[in-house]
Amino acid sequence: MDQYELELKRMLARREPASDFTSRVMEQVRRYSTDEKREQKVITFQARSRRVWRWAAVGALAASLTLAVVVEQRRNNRRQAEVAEAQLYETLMLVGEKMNQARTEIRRPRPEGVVQ
Amino acid sequence: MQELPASRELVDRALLDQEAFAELVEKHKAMVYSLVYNFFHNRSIAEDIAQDAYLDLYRNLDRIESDKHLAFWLRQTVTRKCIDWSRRQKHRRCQPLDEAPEPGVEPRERDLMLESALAAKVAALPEKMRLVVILRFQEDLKLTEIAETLDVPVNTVKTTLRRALDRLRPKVSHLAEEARYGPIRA
Repeated sequence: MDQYELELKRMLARREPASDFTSRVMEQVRRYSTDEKREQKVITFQARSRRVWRWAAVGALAASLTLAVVVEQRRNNRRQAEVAEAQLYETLMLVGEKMNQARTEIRRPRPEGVVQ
Repeated sequence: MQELPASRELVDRALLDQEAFAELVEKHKAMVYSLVYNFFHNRSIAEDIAQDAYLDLYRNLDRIESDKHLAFWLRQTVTRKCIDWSRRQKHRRCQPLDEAPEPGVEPRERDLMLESALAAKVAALPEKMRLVVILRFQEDLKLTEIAETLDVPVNTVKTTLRRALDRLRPKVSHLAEEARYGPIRA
């Protein structure tokens, strides 16, 4: 190391900051910690409410799906009942008609000597 | 330069308690502050950036692997902050040299005129070149360590340092005379 390098070294030697430097750093650190805790609380609260809203939305969706399924099932049942009722009615009509035909047939006077 | 033990003792304590962190600040403050001061020659900028670096350290303390890594991390953070700040200031066109006398403890008797002339010459170097000179002569770092800190190849550091010294050398030889008799005209 020659003369000018030594001169550089001397000029660039470490020096101490003001005496209250550490306390000012620590003040900033404390302020940061407090802010961070406050922020953490806000974040936790927001996360919790987000979770609540998410579950509420899921619940509402599940409830509406269940309701839709039940309503659809009832409508289906009613439709099937109506179809069955109509079929029964038709069947009864047919049976009634046949019975009427049979009764008419039985009551009709037969010619003499005809054996059934 | 003294070697720090490769333990995490101080960092671990600082993670748990702020007093240990204060101890850590105390231990490295001269290095951190001087890096910035030698870069800007401005006391208030040096303290602001040094404080900012320590706040960053507090936020990232869990990422520090050892006490040795801590010194490296601080040097790297501070040098990056110096460059960022310097680039921001270029847009603001601010005068970087501080006229106020340095209140820090002077290690020995100094030729203040010569020093301020030399400081002005160093301050006139480009940012990266200035950082290489500061890390080499303030921190006594090896070229490989400077390369790691600045995240550049060793050969780049070698070249940059040689160019910086070439720029300073003819000037330095005249500094004493300049300081005594005023600027020398060619």
